[in-house]
Order: sequence, then structure tokens, then C-alpha cells
Amino acid sequence: MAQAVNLDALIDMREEKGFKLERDVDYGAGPIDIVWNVNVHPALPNIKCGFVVLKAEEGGNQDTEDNQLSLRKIEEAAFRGIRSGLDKVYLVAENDDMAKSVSGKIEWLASHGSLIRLDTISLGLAPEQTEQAVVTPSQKRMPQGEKIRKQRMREREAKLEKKYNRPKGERRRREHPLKKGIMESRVDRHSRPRNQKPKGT
Amino acid sequence: MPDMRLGFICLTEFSNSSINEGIARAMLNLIDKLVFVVPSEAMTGKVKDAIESMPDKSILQLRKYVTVVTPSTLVSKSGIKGVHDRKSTQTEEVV
Repeated sequence: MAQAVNLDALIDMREEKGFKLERDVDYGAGPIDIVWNVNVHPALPNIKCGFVVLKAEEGGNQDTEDNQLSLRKIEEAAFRGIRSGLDKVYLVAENDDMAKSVSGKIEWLASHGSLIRLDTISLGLAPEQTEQAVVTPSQKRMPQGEKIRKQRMREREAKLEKKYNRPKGERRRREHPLKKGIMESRVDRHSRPRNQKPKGT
Repeated sequence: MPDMRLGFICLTEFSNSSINEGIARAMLNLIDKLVFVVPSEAMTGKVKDAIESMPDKSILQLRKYVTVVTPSTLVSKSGIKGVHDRKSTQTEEVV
């Protein structure tokens, strides 16, 4: 059963930081659950951060049961925020796993190339999340030991490759000149038409 | 020059979520221009209004990207003479 997303943490945080808050607003592109108006400098316009809660499919909980939200829903929510004039659109999921899945899907969508870099605008977030929501690239995520093991494996493979799959040109250079001559004369003889073949060789 | 890709999406009924979804799908699939095909003229107006009523500060200028038409707008114009053709025919007749 899908649980209701509690946005109190986001509301409390806003009070701490002193941002202006709007709840359940609709600028004409669909409902936005929370909007923070972040004032960074008196001379600069406010930065609008919107939070859109991703809910389970109407009439079922298909999306929430396996901690996966459909791409369609993620795209729609992100563009709802963009069309509403928000600078950042955070998609709020029920829990950390779902939030990570949402962020991963946004990264995946951006990695395929598009007219808009969705990953610079949108991100998955869980209401109680305290750790960084940005998906860490595998190069940074992988432990150092694993990196060294893979490096060694690659070196060993390269060594074997060099030993047994030496390129043809290199092998030829090392051949004895006499053997090379014999081989060339054989190739020459076999490549001629039958009536032009030298006799007695 | 690279090819221009026109995308056509049919909307059967008006809703902001279906417009959002259509735009998202088009942009993420590298469509250069999106055409929404809607069943009636009344809906054309609604969808156009929804697209043009975006806040000024939005990072997208969607009216440059989206066109809304009805299926009758897309009917081929072959066999129908334009003003230019008609004029030239008349001139030939006079001569």
C-alpha cells in the first residue's frame, strides 16, 4: 500500500532557512506541492525551487510496490515544474530507494541526449533524506581496491594479448629472410593461372 | 545540414498532464518541432492558451517549439490552385 508522503520536513527546513513558501500552487501547468522562493541576494531575483510529490498510479500501486516510478511520470512531473517557471524541480518520492531510482532515471534520460539537460533541473528526493541526492558516477563510487584489481586484470590481459595475438606485420618482421623468400615464391606460384605456372619447381 | 525532425502527437482530450508528457517525450527524443494534433478547433485554442500562458521567467519558450493543428489543417492542398497560379491562368486565357 502506498504511504502518504510527509512534507513536514521540507516545510520545517524552510522555516529554519527563512525562505518564502507556497503550498499547493498551480501556475497553469499542473499542481506543484511546495515552492521555496530562495532569496540569495537582494539585488538578484528569487530562485524558485519546486517540490512535486510523485504518487502511485490512480487505481493501483504498481509503481510503488517495486520501488520504481515510470519514466512517463518522472518526465511529466519535471516538465510540469519547467512549464510553471520553476528554476529547479525536485521530485519527491516515498523513500530513499525510490528517490535514488528517480535520480538514476533522470540521469539515464539526460545521458541519451535531448534538447534539454533534465539532470541540471530535476532530481529525485526523499522527504527525510539527509545525504547527497546527486547520483555519484561509478568511477567515484567504486572502492579504490576494486579499481586496482581491475587495473591488474587489464594489464594481465594486455600481456597475454601481446604474447599470443601478435599482429601479422610484427610476426613477419621477425621471420628469417630465407623462409620469407620461400613463402613468397609459394604464394606467387599458387596465385598464377595454371598455364603460366613454372614447371619443375 | 542535419535533418529536421517534426514530431506529431495526438491529444484526444485536454489536460495539462498530457501536454507536459507530450512536450517531455518530444524534447527527450530530440524532436526539433512538435505538432499537437487535436480533434477540434475549440481544443486548439485551449492547448495554445495553455502553452502561451507560461510564466515569463520560464527557461523554455514553448510557443517557438509547439504548433497545434486539427486533422483538417493537415489535409493535402494538392489540386487547389493558389492565388499565383490562378492569376497566371487568367492571363493566359486573355492572351
